[in-house]
Amino acid sequence: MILRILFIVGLVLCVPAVFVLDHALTVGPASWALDQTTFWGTPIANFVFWIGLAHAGTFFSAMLLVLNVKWQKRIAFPAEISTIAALFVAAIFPLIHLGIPQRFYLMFPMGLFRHLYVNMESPLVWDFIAILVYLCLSIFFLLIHAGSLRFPSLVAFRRPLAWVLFPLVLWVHTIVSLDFAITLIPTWQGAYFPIYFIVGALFSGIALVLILSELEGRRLRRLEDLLIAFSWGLLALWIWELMTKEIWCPEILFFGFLVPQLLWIRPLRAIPTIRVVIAMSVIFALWWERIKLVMPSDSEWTPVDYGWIALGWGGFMAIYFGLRLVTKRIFSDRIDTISTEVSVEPFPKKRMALYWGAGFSAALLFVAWFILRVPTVPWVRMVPVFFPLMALVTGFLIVVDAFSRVLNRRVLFGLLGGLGIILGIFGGLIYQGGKTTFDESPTIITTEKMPAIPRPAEVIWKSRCASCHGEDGHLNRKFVHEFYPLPRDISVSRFDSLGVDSLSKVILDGRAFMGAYRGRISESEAHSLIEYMRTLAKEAP
Amino acid sequence: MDQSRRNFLKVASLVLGGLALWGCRRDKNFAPTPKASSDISLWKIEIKQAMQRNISLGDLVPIKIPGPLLKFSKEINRFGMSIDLDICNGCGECILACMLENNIPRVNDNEAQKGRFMHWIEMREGVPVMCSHCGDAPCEKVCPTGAAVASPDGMSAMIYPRCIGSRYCGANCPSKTRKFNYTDARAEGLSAKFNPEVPLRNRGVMEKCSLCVQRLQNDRLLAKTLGKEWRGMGVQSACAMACPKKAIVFGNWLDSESPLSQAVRGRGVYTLRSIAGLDPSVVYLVGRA
Repeated sequence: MILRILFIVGLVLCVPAVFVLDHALTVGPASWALDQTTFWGTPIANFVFWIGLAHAGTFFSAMLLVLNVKWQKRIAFPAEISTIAALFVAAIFPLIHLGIPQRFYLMFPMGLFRHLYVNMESPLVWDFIAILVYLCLSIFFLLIHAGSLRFPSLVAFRRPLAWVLFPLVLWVHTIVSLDFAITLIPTWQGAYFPIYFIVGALFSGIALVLILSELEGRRLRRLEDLLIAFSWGLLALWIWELMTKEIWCPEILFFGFLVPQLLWIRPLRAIPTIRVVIAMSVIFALWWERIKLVMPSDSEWTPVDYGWIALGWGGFMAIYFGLRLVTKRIFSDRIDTISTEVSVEPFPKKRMALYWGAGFSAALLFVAWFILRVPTVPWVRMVPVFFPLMALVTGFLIVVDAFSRVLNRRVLFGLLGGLGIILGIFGGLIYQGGKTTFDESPTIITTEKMPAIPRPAEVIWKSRCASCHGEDGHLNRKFVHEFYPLPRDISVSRFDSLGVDSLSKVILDGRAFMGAYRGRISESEAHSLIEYMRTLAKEAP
Repeated sequence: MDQSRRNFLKVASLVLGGLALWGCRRDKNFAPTPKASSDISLWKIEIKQAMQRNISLGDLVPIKIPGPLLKFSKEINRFGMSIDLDICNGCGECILACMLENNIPRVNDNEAQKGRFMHWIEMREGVPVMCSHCGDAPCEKVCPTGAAVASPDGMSAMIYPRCIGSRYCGANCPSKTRKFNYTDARAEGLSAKFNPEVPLRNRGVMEKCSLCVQRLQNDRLLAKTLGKEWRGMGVQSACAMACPKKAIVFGNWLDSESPLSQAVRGRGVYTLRSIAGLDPSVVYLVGRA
């Protein structure tokens, strides 16, 4: 019942979120608080926060599974769902943050396709790839877990996949921290940033999972112990930050460190409400910490900045509780109890090595291909994307292997074919891309610089056209060869067949590689240019 | 029967709710587009407004005279500028010339209140500050799409159609000279195309001083057509041309005959402390060396 109420609360929160989202996309980055010197605002802070919350799900489902922690199965399934919900929410924020969100696909590492290349030196690209891979593998992991209820033999595949996810999670948050640590901004620098971010992420994530498990009506004492342990771990890093950069916030220390210490007191700890409140205080402290980290200046918040809270929690609650209700309806309560109790033979080591090897060589091939296409990229910068790519291929092979055992061949090939078609469509769309040329309405162009008296065509030809088309009209081959595919040679018959109107349109508005000259050449000048070109064509040998 | 009515009501209310949301959406073209004005006095007013801000300059530290770029060590050209602070009186003529040359838009009142002007040249404590075109530019390293990219002749260039507006370059620029198009100046009628050779920028695109690349490019094409070796002799940036005291000198660092190399001879070469280690191409001259 409580799950259903919270699902509805999430949906209700989505209503203001939709308006905020719409406003933010219409007005652009000017709609949220940014000042003269900070270009990154609350969306990036919220992104880091939600990615951090997502990590906890994987921590409980994959890391603790690998480490043979017995109690993890009591919380694994809700944690996995929360990972996916939090990741979806997290992925929205960087897209909103972009100045031109519809151009986000330019970050796909496609080498020199379309004459656009991705800068592999940029942490944002590492981030983009790592998070995409993380989302894919989290979905795979959930699929295997849910599938193992129907086909118990799938349980054998959980552990190998968890071994892929374990390092990936640490890798992802390391890269998120590098977004900051790699810059020249003094408050963002420090070699401790990766560990600082990972500890912070797990701390807030554990608090979230604690709340979720309370909602399921389960109390996990170990979670509370972990919360205390991580609060001390983070305190150490906060002290480090205070010593090196003299940054400290009393409110973060209070909500993030002092409040969780209440868990030492047994009678208080026994009350579920107190536990939830403590977890909420931790989540708040960590959220505020990310905000303070990304935008240290006190710029005035707009409604949009507050709207991210509705967007984040509304989206998370709607997705999480929606999925939870659906899975409860399908699997009833079996999902939390049976899954790991089935005894299965361990995954053969040889096959595991094969998949890792395949992933490794696929990533190596990609890196080699990229470096060959874009030789200026320093190869060291490919290291951060190497592991996520490897993990993606390895994880995909494990999932295909898993489902090839339980599913009918035809169904499996159908699914793979469908996936291929979808990827093909998206790949094609990205390859086609959007328009990268400027379409300026010529009405804005002021004609102040245009001479009142038309200049002689010969002068214009020599100053404007001859650099490519050659003084005699037969192309400046030395120059044109270097840059463009050669245009057709001029001839009188071709001139007559094309006509003055279409030619002047080409001169004024451009075509293919010919630049547009509207504003620099008037229409009457264009006409006289065509006449001049005709005489040049007549002189042709 | 009862069940189906219940379902019908559910679906109908969902559809109606969705339609209501759709109906409430913001209409982009609610206000009529104001007419674009190309009255230069409007630009002058804005420059005056911008010059009243108090932006701290930070320390100036001495550096070596810029030499060949590490990335492009075989190139014979590296363009740059020197600004003689002994002569400069901070009049702001360069800002206007720059805006007219590069079609820099004005900003609306809201943005002006926040101090977010688009001016590529900014007066900080009476010193004109623009992008320094660092040889080892931090902005180029973090741009995800390669929109901020080094050109072989020493410019830290911006390719507008590649820019997706992640603003990472701006966040990583120590001298904070990158400007982001927060608003659609064209739609608000705040931009005018004074110079047909420079495109107007869209909302969501980063921009900054381009060292008047269009002038260099025109000259380069001409030299190439004539088959001459090109060292950029005779080209001047808009700010250098407009400076009434001739404090700004544009030229080629690698050409010992260029006006820049001659202006720097025997002078103390300085730059902002924050970018001193990044091999800037635009430097300040103070006193004698």
